[in-house]
Amino acid sequence: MNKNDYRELMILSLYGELSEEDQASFVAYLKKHPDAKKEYQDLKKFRSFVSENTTKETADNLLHDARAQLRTALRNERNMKSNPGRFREFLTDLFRPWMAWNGAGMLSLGLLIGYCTFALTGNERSIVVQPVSDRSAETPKTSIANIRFIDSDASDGEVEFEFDAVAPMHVKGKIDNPEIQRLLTHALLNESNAGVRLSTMNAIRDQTAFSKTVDPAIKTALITSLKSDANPGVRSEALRVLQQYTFDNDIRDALLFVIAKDENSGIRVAAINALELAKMDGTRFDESTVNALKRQIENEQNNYIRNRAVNLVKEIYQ
Amino acid sequence: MNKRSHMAQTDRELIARSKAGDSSAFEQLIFRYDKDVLNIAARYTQCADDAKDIYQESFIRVYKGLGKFEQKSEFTTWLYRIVTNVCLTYKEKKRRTSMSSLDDDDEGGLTQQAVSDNASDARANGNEIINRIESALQLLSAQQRLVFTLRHYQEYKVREIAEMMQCAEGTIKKYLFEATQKMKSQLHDLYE
Repeated sequence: MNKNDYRELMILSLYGELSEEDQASFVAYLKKHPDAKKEYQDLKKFRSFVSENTTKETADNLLHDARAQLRTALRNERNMKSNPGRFREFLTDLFRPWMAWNGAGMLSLGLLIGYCTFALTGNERSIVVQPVSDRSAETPKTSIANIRFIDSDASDGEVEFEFDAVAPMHVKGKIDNPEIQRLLTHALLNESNAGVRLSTMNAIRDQTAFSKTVDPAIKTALITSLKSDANPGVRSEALRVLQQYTFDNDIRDALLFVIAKDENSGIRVAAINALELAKMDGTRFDESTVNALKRQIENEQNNYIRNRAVNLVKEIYQ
Repeated sequence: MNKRSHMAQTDRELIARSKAGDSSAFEQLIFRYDKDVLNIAARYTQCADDAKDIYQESFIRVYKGLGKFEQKSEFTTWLYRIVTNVCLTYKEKKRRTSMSSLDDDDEGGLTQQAVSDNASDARANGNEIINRIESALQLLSAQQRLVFTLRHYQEYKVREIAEMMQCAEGTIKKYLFEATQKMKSQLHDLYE
C-alpha cells in the first residue's frame, strides 16, 4: 500500500465509507504501522472535535427570508419572461401588413391594458388599470421605442420587426393588493425621481399603519432603500417606516449597517434612536450587536454619535 | 442522491407541471430541497447574506433551466450540480469585487467581521471554538471548503459529492484529505 492508497483508505474509514473487507485490511495496516495509527487516531479526534462544536442548522427565519426574496426574484423572472414574449408574438403577427401601423399602436395598447386587467387573478382583479387618456378624453400618448428588425429585407414585399409600446397608465386599487404592492416596491427601488420614491414611501407608511400584515418584498425593498438610496430624505423615511414594523434581526442589521456606513450623521443618529427604542420595547440584543456598536465607538468621528453609541452599549449591558 | 430517491416519481410530476407553467408546482418542488441548499450555502460562506444570494441564484438557474432539463438524471443531482457551481463561482466573484469595494461590507459582512475580529468578546460569549473552526474553514480553497462542508456537515458520501461537483471520486478524496489536514493544523491547540 503506497502513501496515497493509505490516505484514501484513512479518509474513507474516518467517514465510515469503507467496505468491511477494506476496513479489515486498513486495520491490519494500522497494526503494522504505528505512525499511521497515530495519524488516524489524531484524525478521529479532530473529527469528533469539529462535530461536537458545530453550530445548529440554518435558522427558520433565514429560510423564511430567503424564500421571500426568492419569490420576489421568481416573480420578476416570470414577468420578464412572459410579458415581452406574449407581446412580441402578438406584434409579430400584427405587423405583417405595413398599413397596420396606427391600428397596431392602439391594439398593442389595448393588449397591454387587457393583460394588466385580466391576466391577474383573484384578489388582484380588484385593481383598475386604464390608460390615462381614457380618463381625460385625450388622444392616447403611446410612444414607440426600441424598434428591432427581425427581417429588414423587403425584396419579398414584407419586413418584420418588434418595438416597445409605452403608454401612461392610471392604476387604482387597495393598498394591500399584491399587484399594487408589487408596483410600489418597483417604484421604491427603480423610480429615478426621489419625490416619487418619497410618495411611494408615504403610501407604504400609511398602509403599515392601517394593516399589520407585512409584505416581505416591501420590507426588503424598504431595507434596500434605507441602505442604498442616494437621497437622504428617502433613506430617512425608509427608516421611519421600518420602525413601524415588528423589530427583527433584518431591521437590526440594517440599522447597524446605517450606523456604520451612512454618511449622513442625522440618519446615523436616527438609527441609534431606533435601536434604543427597540431596547426600551424589550428587545434583547446579542453579542454581535454589541460588537458592531463597539467598533462604531472606536471609529466614529462624530462625538455626539459616539456618546450615544456608548450609552446604548451601557443600556444593553444593564 | 440515494437518500431522496423515494421522491423521484413525484418530482417528475412536479417538474412536468412546472414546465407547463404551474408556479405552485415549481415552489413545491424547490421547497423540498431548499432548506438543504441554504444549509450548504450557509456552511460554505459562513455569512447569512452570501448564503441567501447563493440560494437565490441557484433556484433562479433551476427556474431558467427547467425547460431544458430532460430528466436523464435525477432532479436532485441536477440541482446540487447547480448549487455547487454557484458556490464555487460565487466566491470567485466575491473575492474579485471585495478588493476594491466597500459595499461588500454589508450587514452580513458586518456580522461576520464581528465574529472574526473580536476573538476576546467571542471568548466571553463561549463561541471562541466555533469561531476558530469557522476561521479555519475560511482558509481552505473554495473546492476544499465545499467538499469538507458537503462531507462533514451535510453528510453526503464521497461518491455523491463527486457526482455533484462532476469530479472523479479520487479528486474529492484528495480535497477532503487536504481540507482535513489544513483544518487540523489550524486547530490542533484546541483538541489535542
